[in-house]
Amino acid sequence: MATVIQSPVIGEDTKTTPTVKKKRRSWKNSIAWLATTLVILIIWQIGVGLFGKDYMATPIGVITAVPDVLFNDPKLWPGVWETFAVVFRGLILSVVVGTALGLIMGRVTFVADALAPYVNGFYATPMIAVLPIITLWLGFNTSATFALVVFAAIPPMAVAAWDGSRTIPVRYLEVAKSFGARRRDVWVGIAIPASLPYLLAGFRLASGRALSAVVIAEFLIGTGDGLGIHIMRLAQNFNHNEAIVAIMILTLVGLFLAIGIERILRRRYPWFRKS
Amino acid sequence: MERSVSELENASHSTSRGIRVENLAKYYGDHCVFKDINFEIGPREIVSVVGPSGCGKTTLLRCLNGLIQPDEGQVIADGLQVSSPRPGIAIVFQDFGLFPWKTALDNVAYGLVVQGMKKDKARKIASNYVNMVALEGFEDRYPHQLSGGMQQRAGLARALAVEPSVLLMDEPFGALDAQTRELMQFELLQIWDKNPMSMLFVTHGIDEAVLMGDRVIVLGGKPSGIYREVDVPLPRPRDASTVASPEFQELRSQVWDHVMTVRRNTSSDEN
Repeated sequence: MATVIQSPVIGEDTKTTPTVKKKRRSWKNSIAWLATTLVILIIWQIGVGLFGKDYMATPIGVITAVPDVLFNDPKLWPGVWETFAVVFRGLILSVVVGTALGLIMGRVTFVADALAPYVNGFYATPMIAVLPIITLWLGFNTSATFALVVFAAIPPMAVAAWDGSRTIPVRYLEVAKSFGARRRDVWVGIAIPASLPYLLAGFRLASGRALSAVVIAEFLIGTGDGLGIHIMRLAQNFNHNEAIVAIMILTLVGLFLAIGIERILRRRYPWFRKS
Repeated sequence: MERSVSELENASHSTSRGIRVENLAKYYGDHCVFKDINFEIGPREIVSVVGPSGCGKTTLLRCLNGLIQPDEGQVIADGLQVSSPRPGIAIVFQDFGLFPWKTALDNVAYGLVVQGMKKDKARKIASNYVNMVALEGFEDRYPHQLSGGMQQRAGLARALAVEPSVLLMDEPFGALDAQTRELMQFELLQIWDKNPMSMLFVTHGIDEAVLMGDRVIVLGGKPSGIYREVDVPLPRPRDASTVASPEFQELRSQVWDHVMTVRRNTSSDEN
């Protein structure tokens, strides 16, 4: 096509084009962290050696227990599977339901007025308090665990989506409307991507609460073979090194849910939080 | 590529009958934004609107698109009353209004997709308009990776892509620096010369209003209304030499005087 106008390379247009900068953390940033870790580990190791009991966990004990727990403990992986299956199913349900609820609350005042006290109230209720009632209804089994996870994870998701959809820039909605966007286009095409930073913040909270909920439920229900139960039994049998290795699996999954997913999204969607 | 040019030219809006505004008035509570607004934009005509801040320029533009409902009067576009936004009327926004989660190309294709076109086809058409506004090579950039001028090129291409018979420009170059603004004015004129349509050009810039418009409407007063309508008989195509001509300077100072006069008796929160 005959180019109508000169290229934007002429003029000052291109000079303000930001290049995508890659921040590289130098090794110097890690020194503080490494030093702290080293000091803690040394004090811990020596402390237990001087004053502790034989069965107390030590850094060296934990490290040597890692291969043992990962490869020779027949109950670990089934427990991991059982526990995280509940967490992931619960989180998926919570994300879908919580996001839908929150987005609608943000766009439809009537719904917000109707549901706000419940969402806020459930959010404020300590999840551990409702566990006895849940077990009365559902029995001492994984259904109760699942229910507690959902109870813990839906409110932060809903509140985040609510905030997100309330703060969608009016301009986006106006643009959509001016091009004749239908309601569905606005919900899927604008409300969700425009709220995505809020949804991710909500997911961080929800995933942390979901992990807490699953462990609490397993501890208090006391049946099944989940990772929580496994940790409890290891500790009660004075296998503290092994218990810490199992706890670290929870930590890693928690970190992945809280931080890893955001990192992946940032890499995949460079616009994220740059608007 | 040749094909797309003829396609664009064939879309010469032969059915377009321009847009007409009849007795338009808008109130916010007791406050009258404007009233008794009457004017018409022919199918191949540009009408500029200038006036002091708070005179209701932007509200008027939104009424023309149906984003806002007027309290009195009506807007007729292509023979039909405008009651809600519709495909034939597109807006270019001052702050570009691009979606940060879409690439430049997908932003340009947005109007087409929303109006029901398949994504692939919409992208193909959009890429013609990306070329038209000289954004080729930047299709896959996100808005935050583009300069202001380039973002507004995308905003313009998005509006042009739906082949509107009426294009509403809401201070489109107001957020750009002086150089870019000037560049974009001439580029817009060139695009319009190839493919003219009805255009409402709302601006703060008096030079810009005269350069773009076949007529300049000076809005203002208390309540706001059309204070003056100045004909701009400068020949087209217009370019940098137009600005240098004594006729341009004469018209410019005329409009300037009107704006200064009307400014003194317009409700405004800014001075």
